[in-house]
Amino acid sequence: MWSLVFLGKFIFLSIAFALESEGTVSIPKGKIEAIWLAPVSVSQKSSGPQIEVSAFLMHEHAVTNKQFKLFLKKHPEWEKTNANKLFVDDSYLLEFYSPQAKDNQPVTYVSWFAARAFCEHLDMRLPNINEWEYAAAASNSKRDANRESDFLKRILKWYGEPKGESIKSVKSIYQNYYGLWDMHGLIWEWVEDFNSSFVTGESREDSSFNKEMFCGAGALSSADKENYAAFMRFAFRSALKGSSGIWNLGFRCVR
Amino acid sequence: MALVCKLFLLFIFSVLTYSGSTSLYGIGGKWRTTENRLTNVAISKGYPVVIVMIYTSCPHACPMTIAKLKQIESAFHKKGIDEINFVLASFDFEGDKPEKLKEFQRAQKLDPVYWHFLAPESEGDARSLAVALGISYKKISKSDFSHSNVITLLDKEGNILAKIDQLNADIKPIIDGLKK
Repeated sequence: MWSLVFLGKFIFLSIAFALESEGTVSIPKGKIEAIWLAPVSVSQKSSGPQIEVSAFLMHEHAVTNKQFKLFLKKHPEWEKTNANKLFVDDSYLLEFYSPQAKDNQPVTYVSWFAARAFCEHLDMRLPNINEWEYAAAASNSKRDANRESDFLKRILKWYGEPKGESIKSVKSIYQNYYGLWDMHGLIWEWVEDFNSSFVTGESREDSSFNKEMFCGAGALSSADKENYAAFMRFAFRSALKGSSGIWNLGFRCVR
Repeated sequence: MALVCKLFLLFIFSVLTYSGSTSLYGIGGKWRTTENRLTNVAISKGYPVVIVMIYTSCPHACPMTIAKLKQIESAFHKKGIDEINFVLASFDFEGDKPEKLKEFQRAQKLDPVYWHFLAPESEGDARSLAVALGISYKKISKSDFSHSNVITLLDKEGNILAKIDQLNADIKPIIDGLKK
């Protein structure tokens, strides 16, 4: 009798877990050259440190307007009118309430705090920089395409594109080696430790961030174009505040 | 069931308290006092607060931060403002346990009535407070963090009144930030 109850419980839990995990992709643990942590003396042809990333589950696509709508039903404290102004700025959910906003577009103009609250409500969290970069290093055919010039060219081309009419739907750009959609080319994505970019060993002189990486000139003079896309992401992250809302900045969660 | 009700009430309460607000105290998170009591960053709610983030194995910046805070304290005292509280929250979720912070506080001779050291329960709690205060930080080795130094003045409800973000900056914005 008890074993039956147990079995029932097991099946129930498995189903519940399967439902919860729906829409996530499992990213196996692995080692990767962290060119984004780089190095780095700009003058040298740099190679990043080898880092190890543990396995995790990641949303297969960026969180959509529809998913965010469901979240707001359960957490009205994150509606635009209710949210604490320390945690969201004036642009928060700027396009979300408009009739043009489509369900399957990624939610944008969403602050780090709101993104975090969303992930928490699913018992998930934001990926950290290493996890995000590790997952995003994959092209459609390779685990680590950070040194593939075609892959990088495509990313840089996207960074150079002007703001379009509206953001495309999720699952419209490309699916990578792990099955993740649109890690590049659709939106920028929040990471948990975005505020650790550019901090260097010196904490006395405060906010003295790594000038070599910070300063655009330094990055440009680097012949290493392979790092340039990562530089761009660092520069972007370092310009953010936790309350920032930006038209093409969204997120996805991990566990 | 009772627990669910309690949680629900707590939730409603927090929505009512913080909706549309700008208070840092809406941040949530779990912290521990030097007496190992569970608390949050609103530990000195009802008093004006100067809040900073530190880690105690820090060789340079933190002693300077403490010196700066003592300077701020005496400047407030000179103005006749005695009830100013200091909250020093740690980045170092692994290294700074309550007992270690207590030891540090004792060594620095900081009155526990006005000076409150907080140990984060998780890395995420430290991260979200840092982000809310506009502090960048990164763990660079087992016991070393690189971080920006921001000193923030809060009113009795936790609203940010003033900030200085360099250790050699003038403390005037903080001292003048509090209307008597």
